[in-house]
Amino acid sequence: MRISAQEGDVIVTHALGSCLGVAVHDPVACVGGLLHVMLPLSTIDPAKAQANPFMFVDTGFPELLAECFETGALRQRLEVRVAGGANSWNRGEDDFFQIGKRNLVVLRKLLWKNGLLLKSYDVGGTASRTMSLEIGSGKVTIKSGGQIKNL
Amino acid sequence: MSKKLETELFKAATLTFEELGFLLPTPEIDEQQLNAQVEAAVSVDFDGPFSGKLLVRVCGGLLPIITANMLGEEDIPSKSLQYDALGEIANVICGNMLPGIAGSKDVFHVSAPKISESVDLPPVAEVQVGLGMGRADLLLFVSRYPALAEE
Amino acid sequence: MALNILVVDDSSVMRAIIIKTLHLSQLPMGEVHEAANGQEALKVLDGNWIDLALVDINMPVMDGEEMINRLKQNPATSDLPIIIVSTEGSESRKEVLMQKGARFVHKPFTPETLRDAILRTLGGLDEQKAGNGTI
Repeated sequence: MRISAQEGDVIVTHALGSCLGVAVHDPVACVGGLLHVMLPLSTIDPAKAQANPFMFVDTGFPELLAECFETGALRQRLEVRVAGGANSWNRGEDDFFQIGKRNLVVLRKLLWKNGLLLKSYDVGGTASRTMSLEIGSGKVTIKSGGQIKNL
Repeated sequence: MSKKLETELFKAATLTFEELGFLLPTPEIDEQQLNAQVEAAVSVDFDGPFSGKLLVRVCGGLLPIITANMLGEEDIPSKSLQYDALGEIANVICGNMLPGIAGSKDVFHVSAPKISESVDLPPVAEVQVGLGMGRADLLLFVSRYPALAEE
Repeated sequence: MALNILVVDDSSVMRAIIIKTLHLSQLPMGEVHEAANGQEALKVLDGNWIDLALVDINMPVMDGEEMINRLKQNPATSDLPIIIVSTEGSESRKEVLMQKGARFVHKPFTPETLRDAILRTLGGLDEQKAGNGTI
């Protein structure tokens, strides 16, 4: 997880398969953060969550928000974008563990409780994604399957 | 026939508990979930090419959590809101299950949910869904089924 | 321009979910009115200026379809923008309702889906683009 208030910074995270990349940005304060979470709930390994809260959606996302607010972001101005949550198989039903979908369910719960809607999202499918956040502009770019797009 | 009913019931329940309740359903029930105490049950009646009832029972302290999740709140909601939430869960599961069984051409009228204790008829399909420390039991009763009886 | 919105659903929890979504959608909100069925909704419309109605179908006393028929018969309300928020799975019933000018949001919905439907229905507001992938 990285937070920045430096206008020229670009934060990038790679290999978003079933993991989620969550980008938050306050365009007025020029504060942004990018989180790469792997698993939905920290209850499966509380010790690991203590050591690395950013591994889990339920501990990582609140931490991302808290650090952004400490750095000067305001909730009502925050733009949230998410990418990733892919399936292991072409048909979602064949993906036995459904980690990608479950990561998204837990994230959506936390967004709702925190009074945040997604500005945009690129989730599902089977391809891996790379996500980058430009702190100056708030622009989020997704690279996947040889293609680049703005989110 | 019963297998198809159970599949559609499970699919509709999973969709609803994930998207509306922000929970992570599992088809396997562990011992703690199996022994969870019944909290509440509601049923909805449906009437169309075939008629019947869907009963949804939650066990294991789930109802306050489901309700708080749906509202996006931290505080435990009132009992009246909890029953309302369970009724809406039943309504959404039923509405999503019926096209899976009957196809998208048929029109069904789904009644307002009501608090339910038990039903005298045997269910035509029954599904249990593991939800955290508790579970939901879904029982489908069909009282008039000329089309289904042909299959 | 502040928007007056009417939310019609027999579930008070569902009405709360829709109202929370309205507030989070950064719309210029005026008054929000609630009704638990079509009959109550028509009474609200009688006494208040409403810019948008979000309506469930399966409700006791008067269902959403009947309510929409009555709105269409009354010149004062026939142009009211309507979004149906329902589990309705019958394509034929949905087709009939959409031909009456209603947009459709299927339950369960994400708040972004509802937000986008509202923005498209009202038009004239900056549309926020949602992503193109869903699980």
